Amino acid sequence: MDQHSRRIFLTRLVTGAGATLALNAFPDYAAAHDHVAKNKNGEPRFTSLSAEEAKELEAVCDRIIPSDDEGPGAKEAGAIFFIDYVLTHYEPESQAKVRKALADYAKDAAPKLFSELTAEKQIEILKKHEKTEEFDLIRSYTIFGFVGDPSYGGNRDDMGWKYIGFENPGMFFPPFGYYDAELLKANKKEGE
Amino acid sequence: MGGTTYKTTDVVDFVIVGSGAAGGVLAKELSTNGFRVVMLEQGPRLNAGDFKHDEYWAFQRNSLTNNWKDQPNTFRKTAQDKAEKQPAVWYGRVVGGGSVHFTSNYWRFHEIDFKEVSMKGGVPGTGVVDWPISYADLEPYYTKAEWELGVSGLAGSSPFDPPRSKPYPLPPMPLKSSGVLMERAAKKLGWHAFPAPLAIISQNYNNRPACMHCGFCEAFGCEYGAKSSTLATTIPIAEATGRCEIRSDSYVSQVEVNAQGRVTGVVYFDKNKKEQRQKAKAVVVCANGAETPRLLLMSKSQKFPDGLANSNGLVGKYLMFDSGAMSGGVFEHPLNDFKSVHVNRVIHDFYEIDPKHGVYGGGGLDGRFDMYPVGFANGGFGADMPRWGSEFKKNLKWFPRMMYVLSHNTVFPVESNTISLDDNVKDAWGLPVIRVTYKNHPETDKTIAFMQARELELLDAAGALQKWQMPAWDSFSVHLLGTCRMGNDPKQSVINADHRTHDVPNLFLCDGSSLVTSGRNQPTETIQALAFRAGDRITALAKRGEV
Repeated sequence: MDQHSRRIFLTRLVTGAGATLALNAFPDYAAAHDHVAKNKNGEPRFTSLSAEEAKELEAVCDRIIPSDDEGPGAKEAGAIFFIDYVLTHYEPESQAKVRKALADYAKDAAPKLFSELTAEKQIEILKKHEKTEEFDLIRSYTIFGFVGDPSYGGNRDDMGWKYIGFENPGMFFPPFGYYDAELLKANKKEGE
Repeated sequence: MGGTTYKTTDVVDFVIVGSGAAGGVLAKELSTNGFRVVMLEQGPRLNAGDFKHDEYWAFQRNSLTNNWKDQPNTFRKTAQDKAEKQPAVWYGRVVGGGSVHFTSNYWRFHEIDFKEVSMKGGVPGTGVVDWPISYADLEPYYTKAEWELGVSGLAGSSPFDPPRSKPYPLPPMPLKSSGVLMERAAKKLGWHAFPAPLAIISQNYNNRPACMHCGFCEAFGCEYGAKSSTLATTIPIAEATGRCEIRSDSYVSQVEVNAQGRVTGVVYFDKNKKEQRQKAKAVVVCANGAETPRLLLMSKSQKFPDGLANSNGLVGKYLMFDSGAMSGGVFEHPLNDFKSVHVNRVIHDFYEIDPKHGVYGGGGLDGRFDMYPVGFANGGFGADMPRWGSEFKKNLKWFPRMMYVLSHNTVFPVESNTISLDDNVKDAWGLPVIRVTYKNHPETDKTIAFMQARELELLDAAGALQKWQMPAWDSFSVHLLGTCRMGNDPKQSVINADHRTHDVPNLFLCDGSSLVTSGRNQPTETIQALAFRAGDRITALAKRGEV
């Protein structure tokens, strides 16, 4: 998917079919996520990250679990809101690590912003840093924000779970999967 | 829930430190035998309704386990290395301890595990010795544990099982896709897959409802109470006696002794970090294989300058880690292994590896669901597979089609593998933290490598489209074994076969620390069988006035 069609894809996901709003046209980044995107306390803004930091960080998340024709990614799942929430409530000590990572990536992106670069260029920068503790942390946060419990503001509408094929209704009944169902069917036939 | 409370000035019959797999059983045994018991637990009391299906809650917030922010560990490979601050041990830290969050694999040890040296000759360079008790001594207590707690399984389904006096009280859990694949593969390879014995009830049992297959067993608490944790089983019975108080949020820092060298009670921090004391006629420490030796080492006194029950210097030594090795495979169709219990079939063909392979130890294989969505994405792939980006994202779709095979293997005891105190690092209560010194013996590594090759063989035979090995781990452990081991010789062990310390007549230890060997590293049933047995032994001693 090229940049243009990706933009359309994202826009459709975020704003509903047919809309053609440019995502980055808003001054307040969180407000730009308006329709999807209040944080866990229902506040339409971030509590640890600044709007600029959130925008840069989300661009990183988007490279880790990209939005592509396989399905929605970290962005649509609201991973950034998970990250902001836990940085506020559970891991304030990690804010410095996230900021350090963003500063490192910004340095490599200069004079442009990381978020303004092409995907290829962003990947190149992240590859340079992928062995660092800070990248590991952001990677792990992105994953939590994609397929973690939705109660922290990520994995919106179980989007990540639906994508990977996980369900969490609190109980299941056999048959559970293809192979046990197949065997049950075969055994039943034999019994008939 | 228990209304019984004791004053800290009351001299109760027993203080039990730790409410887990062993402590929870001993609280029931001692209180139903008429003794007055206070059981102290570091962690909070959560009940079934408090348990969540939330990986961040379980793994990052450590809601059921120790939290390294408040209680750091340090780790080094050998005594010559500098110990670095890093998570090294992980244990249950709630009422019910590790029995609340364990996967619920419930394997008996086999005869060989008690008599490695006399049956096979031992391994030079290790500290492996025979137990002072045999499988036959413990068999009645294995049976007791299975029936009192509630275990599902099929007796006789493994040709390698040791003799048993009674079948399991409950039929095995329903077949899963992983079970079908394990059976198919085993048949092809000439191995024997059998229904996993699990401390999870497949039918209603003792007023507890059957498993609802929600899929959150390992590392989580069971909201239905179908996992046979001590929280769901023995602890309510202990409380119903009216003689047992469970005191949660109570972090024991010292076992106190008098001039005669007898213990008089314990010092602990309450919920508000205020120091308290509980007097007792005897103390039973069931705090796990890391915290039990730590507590003894912290309990220094004039009479015991090197720590309590440590006159031979063996407290904390012979630490045995869990020696897991795991491989993953992706299959053509969805197994949906995230549904129901985590282990469906087990293979014990390599419980004793044929010496012709040049490997001394042994292991068991289980096909399992080991990783929830975050865990899978974070660490479910092989070392050389993509960790982020579009290829990574594509692979995340394998989630329902995955099966992992984990081998549980012999870990040889080595004297230089230890739990000790790190006086340079203090926890949030100002106590010296756990320092782990650990390096696998080469024979342990050989066993792991052998078993990991079997994992891949199994995945292949099961029809995996793609498979990979996960890196083995050796600097972090959930099973904590061997650090106050049992033996007849006071020079070679910390406790005797009655779980009484050689040095202090009214101090008993019972938990993973008591184990002489690791078995094949599925220790919970053995810890609980030992606890039931210790309950009988300690009761008999106390009734004869010998405590």
